[in-house]
Amino acid sequence: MRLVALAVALVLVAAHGTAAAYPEFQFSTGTARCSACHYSPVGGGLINDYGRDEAATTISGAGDGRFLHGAVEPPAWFALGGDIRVATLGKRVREGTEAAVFPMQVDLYARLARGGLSANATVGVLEAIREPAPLSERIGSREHYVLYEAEAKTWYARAGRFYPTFGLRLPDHTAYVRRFTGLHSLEESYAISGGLVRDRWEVHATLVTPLEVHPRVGRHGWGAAVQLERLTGEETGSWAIQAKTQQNDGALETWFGGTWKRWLESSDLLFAVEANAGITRIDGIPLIGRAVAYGTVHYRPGKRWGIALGAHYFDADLRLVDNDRVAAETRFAWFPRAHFEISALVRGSTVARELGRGDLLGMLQLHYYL
Amino acid sequence: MKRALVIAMLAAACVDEAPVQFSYVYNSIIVTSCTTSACHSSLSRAGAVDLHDEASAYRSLTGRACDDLAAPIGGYVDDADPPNSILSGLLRRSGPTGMPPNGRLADSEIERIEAWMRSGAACD
Repeated sequence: MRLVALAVALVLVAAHGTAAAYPEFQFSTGTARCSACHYSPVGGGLINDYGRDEAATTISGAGDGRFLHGAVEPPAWFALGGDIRVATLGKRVREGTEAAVFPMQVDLYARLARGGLSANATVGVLEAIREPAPLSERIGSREHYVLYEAEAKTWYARAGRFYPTFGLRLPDHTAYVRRFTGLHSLEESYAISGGLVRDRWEVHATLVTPLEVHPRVGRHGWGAAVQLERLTGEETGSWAIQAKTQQNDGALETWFGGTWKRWLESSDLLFAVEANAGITRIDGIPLIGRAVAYGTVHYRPGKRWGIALGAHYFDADLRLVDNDRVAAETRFAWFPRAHFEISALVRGSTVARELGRGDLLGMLQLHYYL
Repeated sequence: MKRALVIAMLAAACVDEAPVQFSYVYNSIIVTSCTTSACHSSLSRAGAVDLHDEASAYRSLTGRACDDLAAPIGGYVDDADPPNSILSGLLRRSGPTGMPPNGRLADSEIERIEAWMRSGAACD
């Protein structure tokens, strides 16, 4: 039974890390927009030629960031990539201590493009579940979409399976602002989205559909999300306002909130905050008020490494006394050369402000991208 | 007027009362703590417990379907003695076999679940 509990704890915390963007590279690398380094107009997933070059120069300062380290040169209309992560984890929860090593992510990406039109797909091992099904049943595509993007990157439209654009777009799917707003691991829905991108602002809108996804994780009713983000200063920060709503099983869940980011070059510090207020409407019962927030400060002195402090907050029902969840964490990331990342996370969480109800987690992660 | 509104909102936010319908228990507690991809989703069905939607969750927990309320309540739920139900035992248990495995629910959340059982564990 201890092994079962351990497996559940592992996958709850770390299974199938989504290949999302690293928001700490925004502004600190001199790049203000996610699409500068990613093919996706809202960041995450496969990185483009510029992003690969940045990985070798600005971020790590060593190696060759190109596909397979430059050994193969795919044609311009075809891009390939992948993420492989292995993690070792130690955890103290419910008076017990556990430790394990496990594969966390195996994802391959492909992109076919002609002009502004592209087809994008991710194929990977979907889950490191505790009672694993045969591997053949666990291979699938959590994200796949067709994208049209204007040549000047001033607007785009896409359709397929992906997350709606909302919030800080953190890579950690266990971050409370992702986990509790319907953006947890494997919760991508079929959707259509579009966006306008201008010099100082961008707006993204997504219409989420109830089309069946496989495997069915999370909830996939009709929904919508919109985010307006504006750059500030000399492209050293931004703020955004956002809303997201989704119909699920007779409940209508709506979030309103915003994000704020600021890079202080003189002190090598990036601040980022997201806060959302939620309302859930269920037939026959009073409205449920919710709140979720995340804040981090990231120290990134030049190339190769960075360290961050962060805090998470979630209250599932503001009416209930002492049901809030709070976590504090520190993260360290080392990029010894292009393609390689070693990161460490220590996170302590509480429920109802009681240390004994939460957990203490330490995780070391090795990440290689193709 | 504005002050009265603020006071009313604060008072509403601090009253430790919440509905006892299953739709509340499901959407406010089960979804946030139990249905992640690796646990009781349709992908994992850990322990053969599928909580991926409200109807599946009700069937998994009570042993009967929402549209078959003539059937007896069973499974993890005991509407006659909620604190001694299997579900309460899992939620209140110390040690690694308790649920959720990454930390205990708040007492106020467990009490809501027990209040739902006590009220008849209806599929409402």
